[in-house]
Amino acid sequence: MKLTRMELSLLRLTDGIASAADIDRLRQHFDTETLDSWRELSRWISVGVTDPLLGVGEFRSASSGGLSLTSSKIDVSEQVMERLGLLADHKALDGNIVRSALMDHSVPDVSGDIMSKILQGDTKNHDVHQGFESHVEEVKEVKEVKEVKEVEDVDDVSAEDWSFNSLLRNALLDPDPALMNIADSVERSILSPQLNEDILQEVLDEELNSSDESNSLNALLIEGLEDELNTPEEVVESSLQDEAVSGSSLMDFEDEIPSPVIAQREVPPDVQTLVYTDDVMVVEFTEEEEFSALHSTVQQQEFEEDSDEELCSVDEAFVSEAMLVEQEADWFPLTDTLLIGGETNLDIWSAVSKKVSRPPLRLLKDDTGIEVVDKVPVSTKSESNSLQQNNSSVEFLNSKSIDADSTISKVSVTVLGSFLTLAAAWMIIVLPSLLTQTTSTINTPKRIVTFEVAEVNQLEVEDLEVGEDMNVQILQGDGNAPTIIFLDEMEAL
Amino acid sequence: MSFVNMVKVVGVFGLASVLFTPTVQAQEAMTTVVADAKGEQKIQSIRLEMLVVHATTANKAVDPQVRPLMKYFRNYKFTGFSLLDSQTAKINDNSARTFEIEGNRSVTITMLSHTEKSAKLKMVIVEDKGKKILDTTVNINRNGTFIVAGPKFKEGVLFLPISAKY
Repeated sequence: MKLTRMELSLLRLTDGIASAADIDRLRQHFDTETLDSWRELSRWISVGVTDPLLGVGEFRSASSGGLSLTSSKIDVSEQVMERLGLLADHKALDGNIVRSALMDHSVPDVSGDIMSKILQGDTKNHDVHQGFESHVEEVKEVKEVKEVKEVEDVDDVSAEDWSFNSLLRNALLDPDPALMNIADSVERSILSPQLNEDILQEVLDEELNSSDESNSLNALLIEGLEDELNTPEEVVESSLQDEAVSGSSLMDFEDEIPSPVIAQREVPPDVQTLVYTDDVMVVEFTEEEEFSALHSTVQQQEFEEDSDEELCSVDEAFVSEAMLVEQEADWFPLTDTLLIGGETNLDIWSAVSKKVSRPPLRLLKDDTGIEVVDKVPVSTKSESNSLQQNNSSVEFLNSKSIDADSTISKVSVTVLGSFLTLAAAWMIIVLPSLLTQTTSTINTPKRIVTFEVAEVNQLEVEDLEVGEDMNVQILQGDGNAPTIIFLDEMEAL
Repeated sequence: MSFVNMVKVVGVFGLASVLFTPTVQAQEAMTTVVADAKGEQKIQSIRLEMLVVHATTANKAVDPQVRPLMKYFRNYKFTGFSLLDSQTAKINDNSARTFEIEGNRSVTITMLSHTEKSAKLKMVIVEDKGKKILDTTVNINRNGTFIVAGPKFKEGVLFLPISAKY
């Protein structure tokens, strides 16, 4: 990727890693307000992603310096899709669809399209319920059974309320201020499958008669069923009649009692089929193998915390089931918000913002692939300025920087100056004499002789002999001059 | 730099100059003084100095070191004078010293005796073939000089100024 030095500096400034040179370079082209805006860009993006109170419009208006943040929304949608893992599992849900849904209010059909995809997962999520419903469809008629009277005081939840989606939808639509936080609603939606599983776990638990309030409904129901099984038909009939007279609730049996509770109850082996014939309904219990199969699928393996086995020995079928539940749970808030229609954009934004992981926002992720096109190899003005700023320190003989005003610095300068002055003086005064002596030695191989002639020079020649072919002359200049004995060789005749 | 530091620098410089400057002064006359029985001091040795000057008519160049002697050389036909050698020897009574000069000649000077005012010297000049060209005995006054000239050398002759310093 090719960037100019200006662009690279802007990215560094946004990431908070701009050097002094970058800042100086940017100051030559931008004013302080613009640079501050660039500095706050990263934070704005983070706030815009996470703050549900900050709308898209505010997010855009908060940006300055001519930077378009439209791409940020796109990145958010992509991040959401990756977070939810839908790009891999729901390939039909193109990221562009969600992106359009997030950005464009004029695409109402998109929500329906997405919902159609989501409902497929919704069906999977309710396999357990449907499994039970297939076995107790006749039991729906048992609402007139006597035990139901005890149950109706516990809860008046409708059949629809047992629908997983509906619970979540209600949670999201609840005008209660405590539920206004969409993130909490999302968490509730995520936890909802666990509630279902808890019910199953509780039914599977041997302590069905526990005094726990959460199991009171189940306990009452079981007791009622046992009593019903042990009660003669006449008693049952009378009871039913009494119930009809009393005008008890017409609520369906399935609505009142979680289906797993019914299925969990072990039927005595001798009672393969019980038929209550009041000409109104027939209750038929049948030992089904499918129940155990379904039951086994929801069993969770228990592992110690931080155990590696949890990652290694989890049943593949169970994992896939859990993953589906989790994915669907993640999808519910988005699905519901899309179905709501009017406040789609805000709800999506709020719901999504909590789901988006926030890695440290670094616009300049990697410098390795960046090539600065207008790179200047020589030192820039800013660098020279930085050097000027550092001129208060003195570098002395490769030692650490010494403050110019410190005593060490003064002493060092004094010693160094004295040494240099002494050396210079020695070179000026002493060295020439050495050179002169050397030069004289070279030009005149003989040493300098100071031959002084005395003022008075008197010579007395006592004896004198010369060679045969020589003449001798004794010459005397003025009275005190040196006497000269001159030998004159005679040439051969 | 403060004035005190300047003073220090100059002082160090001066000391260094003294330490590093070689001795270029001419050697002073070295004489040995011995006191006799009467308590009078007696100079035991003298210092002989001899120059070898080449006088020629081939040029008119005069060696600066010879200029003090030029007033004694102007009466001759030679125009150019150059110093070829300079020799010094410390000699005692009845001792001799031989100097080799140009032209494969040797000059032997023997101090026969000396007094406070004069010294008696015997001087012999011998050529390379053993031919004696000069044999003389002279009395020279203290610190006096005499000149022996004439031996041929190249296109001129040699002048040998000799002094007895003590």
